[in-house]
Amino acid sequence: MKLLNLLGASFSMSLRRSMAFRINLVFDVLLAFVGLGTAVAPVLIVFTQADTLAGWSKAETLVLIGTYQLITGLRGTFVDPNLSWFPDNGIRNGKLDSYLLQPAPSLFLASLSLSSPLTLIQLVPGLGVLGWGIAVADVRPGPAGVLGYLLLVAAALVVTWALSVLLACLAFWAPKLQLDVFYHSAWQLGRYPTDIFTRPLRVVLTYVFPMALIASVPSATLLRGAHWPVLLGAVLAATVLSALAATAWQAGLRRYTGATS
Amino acid sequence: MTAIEVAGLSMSFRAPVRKPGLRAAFGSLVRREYREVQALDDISFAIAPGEVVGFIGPNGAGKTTTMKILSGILHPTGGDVRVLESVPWQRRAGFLKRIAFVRGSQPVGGSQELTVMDSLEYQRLLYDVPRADFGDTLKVLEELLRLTPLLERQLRALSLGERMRVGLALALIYRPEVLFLDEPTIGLDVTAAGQIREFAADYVSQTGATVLLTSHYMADVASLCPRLILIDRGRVEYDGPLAELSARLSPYKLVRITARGGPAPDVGEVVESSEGMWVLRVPRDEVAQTTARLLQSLEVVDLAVEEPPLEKVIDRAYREGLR
Amino acid sequence: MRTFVLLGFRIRQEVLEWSGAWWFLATLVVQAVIGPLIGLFVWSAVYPDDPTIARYYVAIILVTLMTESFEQHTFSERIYDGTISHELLRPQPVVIGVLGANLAIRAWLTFLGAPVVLLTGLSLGTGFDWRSVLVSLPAVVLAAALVFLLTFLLSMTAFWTQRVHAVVGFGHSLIFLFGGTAAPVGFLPDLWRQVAELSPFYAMSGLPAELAAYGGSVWSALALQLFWLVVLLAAVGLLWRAGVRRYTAVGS
Repeated sequence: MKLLNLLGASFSMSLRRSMAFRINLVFDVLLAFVGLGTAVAPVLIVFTQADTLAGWSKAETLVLIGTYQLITGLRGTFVDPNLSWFPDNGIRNGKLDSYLLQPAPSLFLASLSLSSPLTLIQLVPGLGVLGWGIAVADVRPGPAGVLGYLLLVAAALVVTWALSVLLACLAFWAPKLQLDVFYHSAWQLGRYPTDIFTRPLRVVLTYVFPMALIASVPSATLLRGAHWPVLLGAVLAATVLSALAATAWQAGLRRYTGATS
Repeated sequence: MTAIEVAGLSMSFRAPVRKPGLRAAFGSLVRREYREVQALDDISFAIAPGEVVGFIGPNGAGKTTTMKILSGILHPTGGDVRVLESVPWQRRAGFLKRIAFVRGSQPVGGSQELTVMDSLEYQRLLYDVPRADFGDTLKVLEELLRLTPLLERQLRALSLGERMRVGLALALIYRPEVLFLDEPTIGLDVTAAGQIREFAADYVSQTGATVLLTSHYMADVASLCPRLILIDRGRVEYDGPLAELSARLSPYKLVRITARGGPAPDVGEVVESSEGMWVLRVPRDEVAQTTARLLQSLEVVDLAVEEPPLEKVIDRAYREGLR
Repeated sequence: MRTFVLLGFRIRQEVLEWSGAWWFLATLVVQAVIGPLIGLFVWSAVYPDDPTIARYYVAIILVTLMTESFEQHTFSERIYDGTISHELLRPQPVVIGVLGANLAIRAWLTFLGAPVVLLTGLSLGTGFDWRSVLVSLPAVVLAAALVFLLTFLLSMTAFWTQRVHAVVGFGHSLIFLFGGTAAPVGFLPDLWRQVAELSPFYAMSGLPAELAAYGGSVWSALALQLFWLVVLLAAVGLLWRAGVRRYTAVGS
């Protein structure tokens, strides 16, 4: 409860602050549309040449891009302000030290206590594309599909958070190894149906670095119906990855505070 | 009852050794060489509640490491520490609410977009400060730290001195009983540093907080701390009243004489001289003899025996080693 | 002559400086490769039986590696933190430092990335006609110059705005869309294709890649590139003068 209060307080404070800068707001709106434009345009080009892309219809692909944008927007709002460039922003400038001194779980403070509300604007065009995809689909999504979709999006958010924490934890062992650029590049792979990739890469994206969970799996569920094994697998993946992230964080802290030796 | 109790505290860590160059960079990925660094070596002291203690020593002596251990950020390799009867590095919420650690080098963390008031509100939630207490404390802090004009400003827009004042306010809004101040006046101009010192003295007399303070500026320590702990290379070299420190560190006193005409005095070492005035450095146990001889041999107008300035003594001790 | 000596000196210095961060450069290689790689996967899924798609995209990846530009980091950040003032006072054009860093980073990216890309391409049976590759080289050099000029031009907006990364990101999106990375320009709808083929963005990446992968008329390609080179050079010159005037007027 207290953690939710803290999260809410920090979010509303940041929101009020950032509203003071109208120029930035306009800029971020523009940016969100340009960003999504560059994601949607290639797909539209593809569908001038073909009817399906690796088995995905235009509607399905649009739903996928919309979903990807939603998750990316939420990540940018709640996770990135805390964990991006963690070796510099989190550790070297002393933020972690101050989190350790505060009477709340350090993992919460370090991964969720800051937010950048303006980034939420990315959700608007994202929802637009999602709606567009649903509108042009041949079938209406059924209630099971919708519920499954919501569950999978929630699981995807947890996975997103856990992956970012795991990446940040690397800083405890190899502070010079900054993989943020790499992470952002790999993230781009989630923007397309995983079916377009060759088999080995597809396996990696499903089971090792589960980008498939971020957009492909929820979108397929929304328009093609929910399957129990898929839902269960996603929930399991979210649980395991969160546990892994929490464990890595504890181990990292033990190393950071010198409690290992 | 003690507020802080430290017994046999030691801290060593392994620092990777890397040679420069591309090949070494590749090599260090595979196999690393380490060097053992003993940051703290068997440190013991106790601080009573309400005591204000200056913690001094040259760069790299282990001051900040000790502070980090006492506040719970670091886990020592050996020894026993109790702060307010708790083991700091367990970082229990109840303990963390009763201490504060303020660093002059990074006084305010958190989102730099927020205003000072927002950040204070956030602290209230984080530390579960009851609203009534929050209001009272804020009133006091506003007064002592001249905070009122800063409350609506964003953290990023504050000057260095303002940041330090805000950093103190953020730390003190929950009324910690033990306060660790690491270089609170670093980088501040004389006026701002003076304000911080004045505030610390006021706060201590009003709340009876226990304070451990490090500083490079002897003015901070001399004006605030009746007791000093001096550490060097991870060991306690002195623990006692400020006044005795210079006697301990410097076996000399300064004899300042003004004499009419006559030759220069031929005793002691002349450290300063101008028209008819000399300052001599004389071993402590020879001060009486020397003054007697001076009074005999010269036509003395004025004579004073002084302690060497603390700043100089400490500086000399840091440079030449304490042992 | 002196300019070239200074530039050579600067490049050597930067190459050495970046050698300590080779792993970071490796992540930059991944970043450069990922866009075209996705394009390759998408279009291979659309046309599974067309081997020229793979050849084209391998060429695009190589061109991208050799033309990557990061002036929004190397140059704009110096405006933001004020260190550009020192450069302005030195008796050499500021652009030498920028260009030196640019060429050094490109050299590293090509050195780290190109062998991997080429080997992967060849092992997957992507054959090149080496005559086309040789003929395309001048076009690659001009493309590299064009990308640098565009990125530098956009990075100079840092004199006016704090959001230079968004501005440069927008420019790079245009290269991605109209330059032949998102889709080979020939696949664009008719009107868009005609616009793209005349745009500077096509001259920056798709054009040299097509020359290397398919062959084609070198002279018309070079003409288009030279035209845009002149335009961008003029624009950079104008914006630089305006920017410095503003910077020295505002001070920092």
